[in-house]
Amino acid sequence: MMKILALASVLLLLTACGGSNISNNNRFNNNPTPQPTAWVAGQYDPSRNFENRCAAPRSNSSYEDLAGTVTDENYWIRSWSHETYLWYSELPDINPASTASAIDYFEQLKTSATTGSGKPKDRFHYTWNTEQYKQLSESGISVGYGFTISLVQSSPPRKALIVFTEPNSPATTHNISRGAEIISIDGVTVSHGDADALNAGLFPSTTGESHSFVIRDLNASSNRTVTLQSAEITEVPVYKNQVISQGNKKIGYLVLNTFGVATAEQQLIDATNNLKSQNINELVLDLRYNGGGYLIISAELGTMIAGDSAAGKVYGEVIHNDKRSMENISYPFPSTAYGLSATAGTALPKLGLARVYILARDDTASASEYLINALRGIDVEVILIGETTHGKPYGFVPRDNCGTTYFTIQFKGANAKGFGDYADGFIPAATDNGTDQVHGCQVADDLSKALGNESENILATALYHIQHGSCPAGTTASANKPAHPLSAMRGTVIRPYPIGLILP
Amino acid sequence: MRRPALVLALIAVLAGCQSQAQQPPALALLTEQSQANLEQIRLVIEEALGTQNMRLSQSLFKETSLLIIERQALRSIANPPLFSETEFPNHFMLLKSSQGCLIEHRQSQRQWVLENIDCILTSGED
Repeated sequence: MMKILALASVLLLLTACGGSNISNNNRFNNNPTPQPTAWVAGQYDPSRNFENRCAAPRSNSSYEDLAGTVTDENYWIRSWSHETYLWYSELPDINPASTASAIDYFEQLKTSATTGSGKPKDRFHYTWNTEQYKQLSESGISVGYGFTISLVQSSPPRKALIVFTEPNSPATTHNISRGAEIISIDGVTVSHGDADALNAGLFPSTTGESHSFVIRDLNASSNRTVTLQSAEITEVPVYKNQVISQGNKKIGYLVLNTFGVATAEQQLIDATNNLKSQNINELVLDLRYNGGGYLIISAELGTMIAGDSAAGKVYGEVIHNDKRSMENISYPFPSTAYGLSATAGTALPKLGLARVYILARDDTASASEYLINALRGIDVEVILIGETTHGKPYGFVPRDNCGTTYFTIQFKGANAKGFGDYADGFIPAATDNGTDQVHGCQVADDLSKALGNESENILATALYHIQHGSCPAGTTASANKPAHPLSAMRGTVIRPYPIGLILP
Repeated sequence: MRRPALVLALIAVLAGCQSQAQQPPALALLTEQSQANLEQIRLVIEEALGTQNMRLSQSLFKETSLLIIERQALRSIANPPLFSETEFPNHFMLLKSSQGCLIEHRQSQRQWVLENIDCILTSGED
């Protein structure tokens, strides 16, 4: 039992790709050690010597902040990074007294190395206000209008397109649907308007706020104005669950928009039971907007897809830097539900498929990529349709110090074959090279059709591949000539949480 | 004569108490999602988790006895996306017992009695 609990803890930690040990770990830091009188390059004192010494100590009794300086905070960042950062040997050593802001100092403490494609190796290095980060809510409940937008460009000239809407939301009430463009909000144009005004309209903090939106619907020749009132939105992780008949095949089509809501666990069990009862031959799993979440739910989904062939096999490994190798652990495909929203211990339904089609784009990340990697690790064939995934095989345990929660990469994941180097994402390719190139077809997202519409580009490509065993002509990135302006759309999907999302 | 009657009455009362005390709390649903009820529950949950400004739905404990609390996912283009990083969710259950309606935090098994809130028993739910 202890072992199971320990394992579950690790999975939850990963969930997070940073579970969140954000409370102050050092409860006994009442005898502050004198800080070094001078910075010595290459000499690192333990981070515990500097933690909770804050330039602006919090008065909240749940924290143990002590009076300190920004330099103290920087010393803590420096030592903590050197202890935990996955690539600590690639960190620059910067004098903590040289930077007047802890956040600015932290920004500098990451590797400057690049991936094979030339991207920065570390694209996941950031901070968050601790109080914001700790904000809790009922699972899947938020305030908004019920649409998710893709921001084709976050800085002017911006373009905001609706990618999907939640059922029974203000968006659906006003017939706002996939492919619609938001032209302006409260008279401020999305393309060049004031970012604060746009954020205030797009991301209301309370229910009952009214904002005026000018919308251009898909294929419309003119705009329309709607007044949307913010409301309580219930996110539905399993967005579509249907069976498509094609010849003598029954193809399950499952859209999972997030692993990050606990209710996804029960919804996936229900969806899998439904698909199993209909005796599907193939599964098309649509993860194009799924940026990750609870890794344990993705592991459960892996079991539900692979079935008995996954029993006892490794879902993933967590690999830390060489100072923390004792913390490395591997974890199996689970046979039962962990109990995030389902009843703990419930046997997971199993489709027992030897292959799965996964629909993806750049927003497919983290736990979604872990699933792709884990299935390939046990020789379940993954056929990837869409675009290259985000490339985040890394995780962290967020850590609070003095009111800022720091995210620095502390471990990487790997599958049963030991592969985890997909920092440039999984790439749909003509052949599967066993590493980052996955057999599949490259095709851009198609906002001109509803999700689940069999002629929507990505789904249509998967259906074609199921029938013919190859990609349809014109589905490679270079050859694609979309018929509709929105039938080949790239952008960054953002969700309507109350955080400023528009850049000036 | 008076004394035996008193003893009998006392025994009856005690038996009644014991009988009531033996009823285990059972899963329940709220009979009314009034703002006052929801506010009281919100304060209980906030106290249990040591937090503030908790967001709860208007349909709390209407169709299920289980309340799942998790950290809000954060995304921003000002920072790289956070991919819905999430802590293990906290589970709360609405229970009905002889004391009335209770909120139980599943992980710690701590309980809070709700004041002037009615609930009805449900079954077959976890």
